[in-house]
Amino acid sequence: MKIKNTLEMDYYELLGVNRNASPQEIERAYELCKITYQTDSIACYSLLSEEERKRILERIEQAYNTLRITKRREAYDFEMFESKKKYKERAFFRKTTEKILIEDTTEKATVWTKIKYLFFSPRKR
Amino acid sequence: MYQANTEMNAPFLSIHRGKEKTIWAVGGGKGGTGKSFVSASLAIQLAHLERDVTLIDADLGGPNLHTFLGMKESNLDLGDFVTNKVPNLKDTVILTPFEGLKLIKGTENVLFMANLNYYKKMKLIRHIKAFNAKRVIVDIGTGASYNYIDFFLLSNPGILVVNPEPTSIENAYYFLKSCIIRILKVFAEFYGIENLVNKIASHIKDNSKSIYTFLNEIISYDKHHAHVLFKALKKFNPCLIINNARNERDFLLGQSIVDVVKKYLVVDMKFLGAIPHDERIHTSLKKMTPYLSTYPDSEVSHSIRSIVEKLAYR
Repeated sequence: MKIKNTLEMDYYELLGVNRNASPQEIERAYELCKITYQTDSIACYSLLSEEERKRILERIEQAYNTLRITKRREAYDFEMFESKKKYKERAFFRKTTEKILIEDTTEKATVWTKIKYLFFSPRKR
Repeated sequence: MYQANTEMNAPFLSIHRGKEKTIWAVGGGKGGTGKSFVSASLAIQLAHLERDVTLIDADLGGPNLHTFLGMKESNLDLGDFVTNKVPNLKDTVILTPFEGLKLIKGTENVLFMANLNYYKKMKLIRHIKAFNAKRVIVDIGTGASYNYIDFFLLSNPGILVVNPEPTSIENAYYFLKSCIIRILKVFAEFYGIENLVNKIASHIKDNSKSIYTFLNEIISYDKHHAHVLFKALKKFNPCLIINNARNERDFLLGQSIVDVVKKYLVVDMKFLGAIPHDERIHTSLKKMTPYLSTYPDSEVSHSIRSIVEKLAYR
């Protein structure tokens, strides 16, 4: 169990959107965050120091500049989530809907799978 | 392994989860934010929809809900129950000019009520929980003392009324922080987690750390027990109303506060909506006529209707 501070949150958590948020949702969330943490915002009053407010605003800008461009977003998603998967992407069938991201991926093309494919693949007519 | 179930064994301020009856508590820390106006308006609108609503004026420092309902005097009030003049809370219920809406008037013996002791408070809480009405709305007073916090925490949900002003927001954050500490302390005491109780008490004494730092400290101190406390804390989901909104930025402020509270106080709050500023609220109060019935088509009345629908059918 861990409580994340704003520096540990990923860009989606920071903007308060889902990982599959549309560009419009990201845009809207960014606009709200900008209003929330801008210089004269009273929403931060008494809870955040000036330094904390600046720090989170910087991260929000970073988050938005990354997520608004598809290629950057894909690269970020891969770096943050795909490359850190806990399970090996080897399962052939889906067991639960929760593991859909992990278990729906294709089998890695190892030497053994290539050999298997040569002998057991359905022949095209 | 520690396996206490926070829902089954919950202490007295366990958040009310009954589906047949709901208790809404309206608070907000700062005085003059319009809590009583909001409570009265929510109650009138809800009674219009559901016909079984009781409004309790638990503002121990200065009760005035009856004035918002256009009522002047009554024989019985909350003080009669607390001082044992009547045995049951339901004996103090009075009818209001609105169909389906009953009122338990606050007592005028302000000094006595503001210093309500623990046993009397517990008695009041027990009777409010057991009160026979489909919907109960409790208007709690100003401040962040345990008396007010406990009334706020027994409800589902507690509703914070905040004005778009720094002072009001500051008090609301202070109120929320106090609620968090209160939840952790009561649950730690209930489960007999002595070391955490001491840790929480020392935090109350030395209030310099942020809630985030404090919560992580609890986790590193006693991970298993901290898990139980956080389960209790996760059930604390207050709602927010911005009252007296004057421009577009004020209307957006609610979402901003929800975001800040989620990130920095680790509490999931729901924004119900903003009630616009309207001078006629004061006019109707001076005339002792309820605003909602005088101006049913105003923007304020529309926003109150929308808030009630969000609350009642969420």
